[in-house]
Amino acid sequence: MTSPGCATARELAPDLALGLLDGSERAGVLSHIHDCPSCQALVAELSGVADLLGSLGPEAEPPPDFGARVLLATEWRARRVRRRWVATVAAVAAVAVIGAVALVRVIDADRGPTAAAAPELLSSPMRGAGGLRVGRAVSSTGSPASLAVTVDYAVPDGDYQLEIRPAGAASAPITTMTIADGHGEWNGRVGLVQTGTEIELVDADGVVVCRATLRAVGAD
Amino acid sequence: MWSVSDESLVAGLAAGDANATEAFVARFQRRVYGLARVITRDDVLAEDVAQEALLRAWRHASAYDPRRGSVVTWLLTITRNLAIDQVRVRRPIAVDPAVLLDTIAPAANVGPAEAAEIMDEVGRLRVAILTLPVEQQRAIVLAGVLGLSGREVAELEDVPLGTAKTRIRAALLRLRALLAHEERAE
Repeated sequence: MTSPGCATARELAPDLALGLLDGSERAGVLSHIHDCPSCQALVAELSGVADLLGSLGPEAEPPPDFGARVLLATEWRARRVRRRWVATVAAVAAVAVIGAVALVRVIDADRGPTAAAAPELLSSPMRGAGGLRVGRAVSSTGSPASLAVTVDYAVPDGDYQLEIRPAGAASAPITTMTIADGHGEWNGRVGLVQTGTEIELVDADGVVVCRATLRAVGAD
Repeated sequence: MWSVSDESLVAGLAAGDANATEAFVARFQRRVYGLARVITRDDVLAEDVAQEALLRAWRHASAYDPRRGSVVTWLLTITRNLAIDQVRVRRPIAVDPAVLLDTIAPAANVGPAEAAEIMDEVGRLRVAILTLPVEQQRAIVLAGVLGLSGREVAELEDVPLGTAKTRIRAALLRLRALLAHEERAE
């Protein structure tokens, strides 16, 4: 490969800064600027402007539980999770090995389309009135699916109906879940679970006290 | 927590501080998601991209170098690159001109804490872009923000490839000159 001269490098510098070059042109310009401080400085300046262009995008409000899912993913990766959460995930993962394997496939495939249809591990905070986070639901996708629900904050002691509501469909009872000393948990198998499936805790008056909308765990 | 600088938050991320991570996500999620959405034009894909961008920032926080740009610029560059990668394997080019206009238009709902920075960097960039000929404005936003290749810009704008490339290059060089000139004038 012959390194281009300054004239060619400077002509292509904007393309390089914007990521528009590939193959031999990119290699050539990179080779040139390695040995040419002047062209290197130009590319650096143009890259700075190109990077700034991303700031022109408008702001937009992500889904309500987006931030919580990102934080969950960081916790997941850092392995700095609370013991109960670890136990909860382990209970699900033990049954949902396929889901865990699928997660690895997603990681390997960089979330590529070939892995999109594979079972996944889903998770969501259980949120009560005002969006308050009171616990968590974790599940594999598929049918039957493994589900684990923990509640450990702000739900009064008592017996509640745990229900599953597929997206756009009516809810169906799973079991009775007891909250004692502010804490309750349930692990078991349920019918079909997909992204968007809701898990609800309903009190004796039929009021939903908290709800989770299951989404894929955001590991990469 | 909210008075902590962006750079301090990134330092907190690098140190594994969970509070810093939470504040970082809360502070930047709208900008990251907004950019991902304008590039992908797909809410679900944008969510994936935004999540991945924030996770990458979290993972690579220790590699952030403030001498190379602001935290916002760094984070949005990660976002843009991820979004463009996703878009390139998924869609034929089809860009709504309204998206372009929205992209160039001044950001709404900017908090006072961000206003100063935006006027420093992004505000000046917006002004600079608006001084370009319209065809260069479109070319640089298509290539630089939305991630279209020169050939895609040419097809979309119905001009020869050489013309598209010339517009893109001229626009970026002009922006560099305008921003450098303003820096010297300060």
